[in-house]
Amino acid sequence: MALPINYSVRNISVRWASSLFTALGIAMTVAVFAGVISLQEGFEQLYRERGRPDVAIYLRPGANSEGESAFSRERANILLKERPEIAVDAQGHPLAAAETFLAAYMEQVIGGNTNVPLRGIQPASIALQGDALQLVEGRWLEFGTDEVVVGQPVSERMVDCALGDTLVLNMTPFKVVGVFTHAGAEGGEVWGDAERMLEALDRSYFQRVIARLKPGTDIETVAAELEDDARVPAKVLSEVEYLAAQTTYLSGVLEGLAMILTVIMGVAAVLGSMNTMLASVGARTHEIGVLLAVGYSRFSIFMAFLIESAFIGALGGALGVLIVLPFDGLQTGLMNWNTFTDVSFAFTITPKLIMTSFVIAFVLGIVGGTLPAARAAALKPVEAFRAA
Amino acid sequence: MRTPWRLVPRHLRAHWVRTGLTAAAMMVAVFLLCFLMSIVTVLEKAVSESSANRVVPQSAVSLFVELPLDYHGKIAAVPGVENVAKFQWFGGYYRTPEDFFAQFAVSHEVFFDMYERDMRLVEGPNGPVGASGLSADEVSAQVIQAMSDNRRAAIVGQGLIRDFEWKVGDLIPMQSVFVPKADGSAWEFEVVGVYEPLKANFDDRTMFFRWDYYEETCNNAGDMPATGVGTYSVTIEEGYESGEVAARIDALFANGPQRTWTPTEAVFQATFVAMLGNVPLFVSTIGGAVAFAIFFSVVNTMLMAARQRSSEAGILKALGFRNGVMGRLMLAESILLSLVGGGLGVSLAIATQEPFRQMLGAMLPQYAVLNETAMIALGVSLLIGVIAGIGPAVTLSRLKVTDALRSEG
Amino acid sequence: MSHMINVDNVTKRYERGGEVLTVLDNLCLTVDQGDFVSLMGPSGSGKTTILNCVGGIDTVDAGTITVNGEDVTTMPQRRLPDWRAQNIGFVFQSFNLVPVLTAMENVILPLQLTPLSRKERKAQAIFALEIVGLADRMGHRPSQLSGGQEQRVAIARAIATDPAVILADEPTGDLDRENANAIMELLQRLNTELGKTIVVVTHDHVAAEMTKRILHLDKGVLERTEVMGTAAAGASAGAASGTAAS
Ligand SMILES: Nc1ncnc2c1ncn2[C@@H]1O[C@H](COP(=O)(O)OP(=O)(O)OP(=O)(O)O)[C@@H](O)[C@H]1O
Ligand SMILES: [Mg+2]
Repeated sequence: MALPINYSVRNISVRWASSLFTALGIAMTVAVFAGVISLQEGFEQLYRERGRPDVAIYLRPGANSEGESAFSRERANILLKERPEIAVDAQGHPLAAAETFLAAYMEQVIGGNTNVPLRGIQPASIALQGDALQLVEGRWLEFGTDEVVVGQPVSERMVDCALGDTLVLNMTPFKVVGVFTHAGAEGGEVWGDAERMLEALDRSYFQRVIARLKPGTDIETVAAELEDDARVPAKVLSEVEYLAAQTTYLSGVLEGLAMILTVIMGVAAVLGSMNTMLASVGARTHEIGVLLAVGYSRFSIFMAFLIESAFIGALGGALGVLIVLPFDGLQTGLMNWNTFTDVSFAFTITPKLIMTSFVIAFVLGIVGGTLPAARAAALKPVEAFRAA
Repeated sequence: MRTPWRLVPRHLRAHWVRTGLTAAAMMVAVFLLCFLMSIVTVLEKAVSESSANRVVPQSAVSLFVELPLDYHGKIAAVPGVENVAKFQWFGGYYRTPEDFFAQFAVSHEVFFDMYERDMRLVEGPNGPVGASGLSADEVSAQVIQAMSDNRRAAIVGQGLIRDFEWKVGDLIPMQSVFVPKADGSAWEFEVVGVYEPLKANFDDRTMFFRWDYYEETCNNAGDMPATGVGTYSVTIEEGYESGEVAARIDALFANGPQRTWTPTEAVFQATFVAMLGNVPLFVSTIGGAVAFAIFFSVVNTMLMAARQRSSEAGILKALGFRNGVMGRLMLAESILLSLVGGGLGVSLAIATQEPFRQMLGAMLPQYAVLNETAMIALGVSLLIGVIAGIGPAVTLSRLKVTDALRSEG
Repeated sequence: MSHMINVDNVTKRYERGGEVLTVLDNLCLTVDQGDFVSLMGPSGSGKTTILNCVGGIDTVDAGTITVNGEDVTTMPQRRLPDWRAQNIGFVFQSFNLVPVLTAMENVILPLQLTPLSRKERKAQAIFALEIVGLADRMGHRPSQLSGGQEQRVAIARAIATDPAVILADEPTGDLDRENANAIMELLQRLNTELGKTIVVVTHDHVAAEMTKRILHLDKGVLERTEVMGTAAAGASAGAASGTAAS
C-alpha cells in the first residue's frame, strides 16, 4: 500500500516554517548557480552561433586574439591581394580587409576608465559583416577622413561617443558620424579608417585580415599551407573557430565558479534539508509506528518522506528561479579576458537553464531526504510506539 | 538577571545531530564566504599596498600602446624624478600557454634599488640565505652581480620555483606570442635568483629579466624590432610630491608623439582591478546569497529548537526566572552555534589556503585568507546568530507560563 | 494569625469566539499557615487555574489574592518572578524537570535566584535531595529516573529555596498507587516536619484523604470543604464562603 501524496504535502504545510527555510536555502544555491550561468550565457551568445564558416580570420602564428596578432603592411597586402581562396566582388575586388585593433582607454559616462576596442577598418569590412551589422543613426564613415562610427552601447556608455561628438585618439580628433548595432561583440566597438587610425595612434601594424572565402574552400588546407609560409606565416581560422576562442577564459572562469559555488552551497543546503527531514521524522515517530502497525510497507514510508523532501527541493527550485528571473535581460558589462576589452551583454536565462536549476534543486532535496527517509522506514513499530 | 547558562551547551549537545548538521552546513558556507571575501581583499590589498612613491608613465591611449624608447632620458630629466626603469610585458609561456605567469623585461640596473621594499632576494647563485652562512645582504649582492654579468639572467618568484620545480642555474626556454623570434626558436633565460614578495602588490609568480637582452634579441633575431616601452616606472625623489612630478611628465608629452598618463602605482593597480569587471560587486552579491543561505539554515535550527523549548520556558518562569531568561538562552544558543560553525568554516578556509592558491594559480597568485577576512567572517557568523536567535527568543519570552506548560515539549 | 493564602472574590473569564467562559466565579477560599489542603473537582472546574493564580503565573479578572500577606493580583508584573522565587515552590504533573539537566542541577536551578554562594547552593540542593531520599541519584538525568523519582526531584526543587508555600498540580497524576502514596507521604512529612503550607490539586480520593482539608471546586465555585480526621466531614458552600469572609 502506498501512502497518498497528500500525506507528504500535509507534513510540509504542518511544518511550513521549517520547510520554507530549507527551501530557501536550496533556493539560494540555485539562484547563485542560475545567476552566474545566465551571465555566462549572455556573454557566450555574443560569440556563439554568430560565426560564419565561409569567413576566414588570418592571425599571426601563435596568436589567439587580435590583441596578440600583428601583420606588417607588406604582409597584410600579400594576404589581401594574393590569396587564391579569397572571394571577389562584382568589380573583381577581393572581399577582404586588413584591420587594426586596439583596446583603448575610454571614460565611462558613469565614471571610471575601461577598455574599448578601436577597430581600424577598410571598405570591405562593412560588407563582410553582412546583415548582422546595421546603421541606426547618422551615416557610415568616409574613408580617408578622421571619422568614426560607434556601436550603440559604446555610444550610450562612453564619454565623447554620441553622434556628433568629437573623440580624441592620442592627438587626433575624430568625429562620430554614425551609430551602428551588431548582434555580436563587434557591437561594442569604435570603427574608423584603418589608415587614419594607424596614423593617429602612431602604429604600423595591422592585427588581422578578415576575408570571405570562395565557395568550396577547405579552410584546413589553407591553414596548413600558410602555417609555415615563408613570406607570410599565418594562422587561419574560420570565423566560427575564431569566435569560439574569444570566450575561453571568461566562460571557463564563470563555469568553474558556478560549479564550485553550486557544489559548496549544495552541500550546505543538503545538510539543511537533512536537518529538517530528520526533525520531521522525529516528530512523526509515533505516527510511523501506527502506519507500520496498520500495514503500510516500509517502502511506502520511505517514499512518503522522500516525496516530502523532493517537494521541498522543488519549492526551493521555484523560489530560486523566481529570485533570478528579474535579472533576465538586465544589461551588464564584463571584461573579456581574451580580448582585454569591456563587453556589454545581458543576463540571459534560457529555458534550459531554468530546467537545469530545477533539476539541481530537486536533486538537492532528494539527497537531503534519503537518509532521514531510510531512518523512518527502518523504525521498529514497538520503538516507534514507545516514543512520545 | 540570573540565567542558567549551562543549559546552552547542554541543549546543543542533547540534539547533537541537529547541532552537527547545522554547524557543518555553516562551516562549508562560511568557508565559501571567506574564499569569496579573500578574492576581493587580496585585490584591494594589492591596491592599498602599492607604493605611492612610484608613478607609472604609460600611454594615455591604451595599455597596449608603447611609449617611445627615447622617453626614458626625457623622463629622467624631469625634476623630482629619482630613478626610471623600463618595463615590458613579455607575454611568453613556458611549455604550454596554459602554464601562464607574468614576465617583464626591466632595466635591471635600477630595478633592485627601486623595488627593495617590495621584495627580498632569498636565494642567489651561491645558495639561499642562511646556507653556508650567507647573509641576506650577501645574497642580494650576489644576485645583482649575476644579473649584470649575465645577459640572459632572470630572477623569479618563489611560486614559480615551487610550481615548475626550477632551480637557480636552470636554463628556461620560453616562447613569446608578442615578440616571437623570427626563426621560431625559443627565448632562453637563466635563473640567477629567487625573490620573496614583501607586499600584496607583488606576486610570487613573476619573472624579471634584463631589458637590454630583450631589446637586442628583438632587434637582431626577432620577428619585429623592439619599438617601444610598455610602461616606465619612476621613483620620486624625496621632498617632491608624486602628483606634481606626474603632472610634469604628462605635460612634457602633451603634444605627442604619444601622450602619457602617469598614475601612481596604487591608482594604476586600482584601474587594472576595476577593468577586470566589477568583481567586488559580483562577489559581494554571491557572498550575500551565501550569507542568506547560512541565515536560513540557522533560523531553521533555532525554530526547531524553540518548538521544543516551551515547556522548559514555562518551568523556568514558574521557578521565578524572569521573562527574558529563555530568550537569552535561545540567543546564546544561536550565537554559540553560529560561532562554532563559523569558526570551523574560517579554520577550513585558512587550512585550505595553499591548495586554493595553487588552484587559482596565475589568476590570483596572492590569494590568502587574511586575518581581517577571518574576523569579518566571524563577525558575519555572529550577526547571523543574533538575528536567527531573536525571533525564537522573543516568542519564548512572550509566552505565558500557563500556555507554555500546557504545550507539549 | 492571618491566612497564608487568601482568595477573595476571584473571577476569571476566557472569551472564546464571542462566548464568555467563566472559569473562576467569585471564588473565595483561605489556606492557613502550615495547612495542607487538597483541591478536588471535576475536570475543567478551575483547579489548575486558581493554583496558577495563587502562584502568580496567571492573572485574575477581578478579586484579590494575598499570599503571605502580599497582594499577588496588584503586584507589578516585573516583581512577580522574584516574589515567586522567594515564596512559591511549584510541582507539576508532567514536564517537571529540565531534561538536559541532572537531578542535582534541576534542584540547583531555583537556588541560582538566591544570593547564596555556589557552595551553599550545592549544600542546600543535597539537603533537599536527601529529604526526598534521592541524594544518591543526584547525577542522573530525568530520562534515567522513574516517574516517581522525577516527581520527588521536582519536590526537592520546590522546597530547595525554602518557600512559604508549595503548590502541586496533580503531582501523582502520572503515577501508580504505590508511587502516588509515597509522594503524598513525602508532602505530608514536609507539612508536619518542616511546617510547609501545601496546596495539592488531585483527582485521587486516596491521595486527597492524606491532606488535612479537601476543598471541592465546581464550575469555579468552592462547593464544600471537607476537614479530614474530624467527625464533621463536610460543610456547606455557605460555610466555606463564611470562612473566607472572616
Ligand atoms: N488559555 C485558555 N483559553 C481558554 N480557555 C481556557 C484556557 N485555559 C483554561 N481554559 C479553560 O478553563 C477551564 C478551567 O481550566 P483548568 O485547567 O483550571 O481546569 P482543571 O480544573 O485544572 O481541570 P483538569 O482536572 O482537567 O486539570 C477549562 O474549561 C479550560 O478549558
Ligand atoms: Mg488541571
